Amino acid sequence: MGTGCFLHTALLLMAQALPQLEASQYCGHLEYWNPDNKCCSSCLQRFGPPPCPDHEFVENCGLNDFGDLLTHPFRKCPPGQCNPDGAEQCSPCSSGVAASTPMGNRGRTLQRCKEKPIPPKGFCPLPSEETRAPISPVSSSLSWTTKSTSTQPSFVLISVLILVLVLLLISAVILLLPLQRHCCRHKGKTISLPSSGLVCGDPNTYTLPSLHSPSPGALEALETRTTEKVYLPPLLGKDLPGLESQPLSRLLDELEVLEELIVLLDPEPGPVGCMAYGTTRHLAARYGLPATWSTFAYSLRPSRSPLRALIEMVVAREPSASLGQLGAHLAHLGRADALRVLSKLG
Amino acid sequence: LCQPVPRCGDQIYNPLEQCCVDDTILPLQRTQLCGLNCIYWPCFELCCPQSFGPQKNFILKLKVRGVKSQCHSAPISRDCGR
Repeated sequence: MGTGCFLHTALLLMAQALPQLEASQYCGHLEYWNPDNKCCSSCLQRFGPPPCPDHEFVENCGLNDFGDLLTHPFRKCPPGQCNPDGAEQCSPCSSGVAASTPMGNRGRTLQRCKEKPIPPKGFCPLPSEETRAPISPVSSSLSWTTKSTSTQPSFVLISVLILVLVLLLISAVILLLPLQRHCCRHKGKTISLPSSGLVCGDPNTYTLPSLHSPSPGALEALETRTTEKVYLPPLLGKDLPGLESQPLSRLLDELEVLEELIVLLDPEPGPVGCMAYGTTRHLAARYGLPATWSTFAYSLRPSRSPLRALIEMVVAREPSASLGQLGAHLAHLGRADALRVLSKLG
Repeated sequence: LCQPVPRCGDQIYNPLEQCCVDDTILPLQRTQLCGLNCIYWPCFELCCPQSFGPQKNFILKLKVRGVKSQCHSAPISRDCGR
């Protein structure tokens, strides 16, 4: 008896410790509580109709009263019930009449949020999804996202590539160092950068500031700064036009270059000894992202690189974004080391 | 350069401090649960149910600012199951 009570108490305590999906205290079965707006929203308006046949909404579409999505919003119909038309709930298969909605507001005043249009029905996994690996739009986006990482060259090829890159780097350093010293003695050296442009968007959404290079005023500041502290490689003006024509998405496929950039740009603080140097955090600001986004991106470490997340974000936002723009931002951050790495793609 | 003030439903918000999720203004640093044991940032990530199978995992996708991000097309942020 004592042991049984102890186990029961332990189970109760464990259950309370874990977040549980209990029915909403404020809203009906097919609604969920919005804790910020203090109103009940329709599950249908948030998730759209069940994407798969013979599925229905779970209690409060899986959301608790704190706004956490604890469970999947849909579940399979109970035995004997069907939902071929994508209704909110299943109904007896024979009758075809929709099941009655369980009791709603549980006696409390129901404050409904503003009505919104119902989104279209989403993608549905294949019927055999339960017996094998799921092939859903989510998985397809998984495969899309991991495509660049799934095709691994052989070990021999990697070794050869690394060797070639190292040799090229060494010879470039040997050849360019004297040129750098020679060029930086001259004042008024102009640096060719892509022209700027404005990004226009939907007036109902916040549009990013220009994703292109900044104004000539910033360019002059960069020149002053570079002649004082940072020596940019003289090939910058020559290679950037080459990079300008290449999409930023290429960087996601060039894993070795990306890894090198991650090693250079992700760590904080930046390289020791120069406050003008920037990191991925500063690069994100250059692309118009708020500081909190950088805080979020850095919270993903070490499992996820903030730089990779930034590049994916920019590519998704603007597929036409180019490596030249990235090079311009790196130049303005004073990251000649990262520019040298990026120039390998030129 | 003047730009239209971003709106969230009927309200305006400051995109440097807030975001709009489901017609609700949230602070950028808000975190919530996705699944039973995965914390995510609703302003920057989407909580996407991954599977209709017995193992109902969740996966987090990156939200792309300025674009209405969707689970089936957004890039992956991380897998809540791992």
